[in-house]
Amino acid sequence: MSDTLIPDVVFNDNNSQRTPCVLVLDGSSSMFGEPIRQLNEGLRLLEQALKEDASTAMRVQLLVIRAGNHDQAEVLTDWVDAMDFNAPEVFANGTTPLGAAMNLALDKIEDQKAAYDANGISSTRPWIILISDGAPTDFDWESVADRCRHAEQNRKVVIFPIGVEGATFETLNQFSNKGAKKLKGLQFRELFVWLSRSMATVSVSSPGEKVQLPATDWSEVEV
Amino acid sequence: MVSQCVVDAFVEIVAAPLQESDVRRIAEQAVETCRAQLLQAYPDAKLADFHATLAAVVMDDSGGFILQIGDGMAAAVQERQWAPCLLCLPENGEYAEETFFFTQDRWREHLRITPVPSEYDELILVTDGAYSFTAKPAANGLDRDFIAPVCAFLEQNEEERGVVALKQILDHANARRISGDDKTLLWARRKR
Repeated sequence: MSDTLIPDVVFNDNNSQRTPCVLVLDGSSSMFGEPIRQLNEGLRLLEQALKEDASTAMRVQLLVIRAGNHDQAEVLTDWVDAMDFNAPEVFANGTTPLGAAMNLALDKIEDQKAAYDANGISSTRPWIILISDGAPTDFDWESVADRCRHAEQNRKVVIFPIGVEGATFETLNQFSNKGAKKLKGLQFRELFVWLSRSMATVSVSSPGEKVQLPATDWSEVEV
Repeated sequence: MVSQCVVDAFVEIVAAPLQESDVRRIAEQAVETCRAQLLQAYPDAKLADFHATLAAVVMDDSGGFILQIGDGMAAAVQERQWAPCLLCLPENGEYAEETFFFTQDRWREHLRITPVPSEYDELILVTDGAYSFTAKPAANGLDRDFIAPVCAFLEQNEEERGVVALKQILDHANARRISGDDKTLLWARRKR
């Protein structure tokens, strides 16, 4: 390093801190066509953007859950460092079990936090991004929504429900104390660019700091 | 301000070997003084407006103590053996973005005091912004790649030049890439 007075200084990023993020994606039949195509393109963009920055690629961890088929929640990508993340292909087929998917997301987050703690790894508060163009179809989704809001209140997780055109916001709103945001058109690309930038910001944030996230250009106000 | 209060409290003490209980009592009094002064100076403010962590060291020829509240890190090194060394790690809350401040109600529970035996001759204190590239991944010592050239330069140069160089290093793009937080590094070496 010749641009400073002190020669030969090397900066190694020795922090094992992790920033976990779960994507809960609606893979129901109503997403078929352009919405699912745009969603998958957005996921590939997310993969690329997260890998562009070395620190982000090392610190951010992702888990992808699909809600679809016959009220089934399935893990498409289990916890993986962003540097090793390969965007999965999400298929649009079946119903919209958002309750089961969010329940699975919270369980996986609890397991991962326990694993971090057992291995002495520090982590930032986990995020869940819920994306849907519909409303939950599974039994008992309301109790899961209660669990989500309770987890948020106890500062265990940060949840962002995001509704695509056609979503029922009255129900999506119930998965977070902040309510849901509406995606402008099919701007999945903008959404996932925002997510990668937000993860990059959070992954190098410091205690007590109020993190200023990038502007949500991809959202519009529901009236 | 809390650093100044702690320093003021200890420099008033007559040079005599300190026990850990003395150090705790003096440090607690200093923090209490700082909290009271803040509330008096800024009556419209809340203590939470002045959140800060604390990393300090008090040492003489007979040894000393490292004092911490929150996520600063302190290291004591003997004869440039960077790892393993005596490392006082940051204290975080349940999540990495949470820590403890002297301004919180239960700050006493998080005031940590670590004895430093007299054989240690070099001290490095850093705020959490500089932690990731100063400590080794195994958290058992300091990262030679960073700390060895920095300490060598500080020892071989006048204070004024050292301050400029240290500011350059801590503000370097590679450091900012690793952490966006503010970065402070204190270095001290005892002359035998």
